Amino acid sequence: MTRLENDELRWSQWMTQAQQGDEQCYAKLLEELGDVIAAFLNTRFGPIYLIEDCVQECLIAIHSARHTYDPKRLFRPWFFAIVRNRTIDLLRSQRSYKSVLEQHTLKQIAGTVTPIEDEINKSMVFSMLAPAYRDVLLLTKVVGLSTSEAAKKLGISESSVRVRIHRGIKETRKILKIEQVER
Amino acid sequence: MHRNRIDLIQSLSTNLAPANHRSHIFLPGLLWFIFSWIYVVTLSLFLGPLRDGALNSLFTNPQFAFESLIGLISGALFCAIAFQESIPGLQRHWLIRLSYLIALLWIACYTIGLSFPAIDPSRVGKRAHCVLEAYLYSVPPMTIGYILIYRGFPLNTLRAGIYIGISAGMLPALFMQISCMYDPLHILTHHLGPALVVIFIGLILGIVFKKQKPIPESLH
Repeated sequence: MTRLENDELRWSQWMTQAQQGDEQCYAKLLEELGDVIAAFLNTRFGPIYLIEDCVQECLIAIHSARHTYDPKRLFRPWFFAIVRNRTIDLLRSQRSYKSVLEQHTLKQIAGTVTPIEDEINKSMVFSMLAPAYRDVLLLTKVVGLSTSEAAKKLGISESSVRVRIHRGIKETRKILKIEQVER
Repeated sequence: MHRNRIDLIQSLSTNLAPANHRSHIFLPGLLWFIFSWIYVVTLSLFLGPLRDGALNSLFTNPQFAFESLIGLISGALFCAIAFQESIPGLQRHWLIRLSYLIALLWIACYTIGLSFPAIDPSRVGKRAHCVLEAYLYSVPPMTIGYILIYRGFPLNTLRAGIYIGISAGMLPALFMQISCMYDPLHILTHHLGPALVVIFIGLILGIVFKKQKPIPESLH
């Protein structure tokens, strides 16, 4: 049995027991899924601070949706559908990213991390996006600039920024559909 | 592991209540479809008779029968994809594409019918308030359908609202085939037209319910 099949079986069993009220299995499942989500997002977005927010959002969503999991169906499609959806939701809400740069700046001052741009640029999602979308998403969603500030910086109109954000998020959704997980 | 995550998992898994399964879509979807039809037929017959010879046309006129069959299949397909939305990861893109394709085919039937109608257009059987009746027949089933879907966990509440709106909007549009006058132009404007409004109402439901995604009680 491969590692993926093992995970599938184990998560499915834990979730089935959790649906019957088994707290221990549920805690183990959420811990493991939390790590999987973090790894999944790390490989796609790089080490940006939205990941922890995203992991917790996903865990809450999994908790809210646990009654919809059918043990007869595969766990992974159910699980990753929730993760993708919550990630995109979080990516859309710029508010969630406001603290990202502040936290990162503090750590940079402490000398614990490399420049954020280098690490993020190497990430799967941002490296696969067209430069026009990548720049706009980085400026508005990671750095936390407003639409008008990003427009000024890039020398384009605000409506172009909005269109690029929309299209960039659409592209991101497609990239996230690749369900390869590295743990 | 992040400290907050440990706390979150702790709070989510403490006092864990057994979950009420809502992982099946076939039975609720089928029941919704059947009961919606019963509602439409009963109320429609209560408010007025069927058009003379309409039932007979279903068996003697292939084009008319085809139009009706395509409408029924289209409504059923949209019902299926609407209920699929209630379970994460269950959506099938081929089914969504097929549903739209069949719906377009249905509309195409009437568009072609403008030049080559299945039955000679006439005002026989005209219902005085067929547009209002269309709303009356579709909005309550749509609302109930949406609530059923929402009891699952629709990741995209807007899409769920649109799909159930289309399915519910098609119910009266199809039944009016045999209960109101036959004229492709009248069908497009008075029977299928209201479906657009119903879809819009479904969209509004999706927006309203999106803001009310359940937050686990343990986190309050």
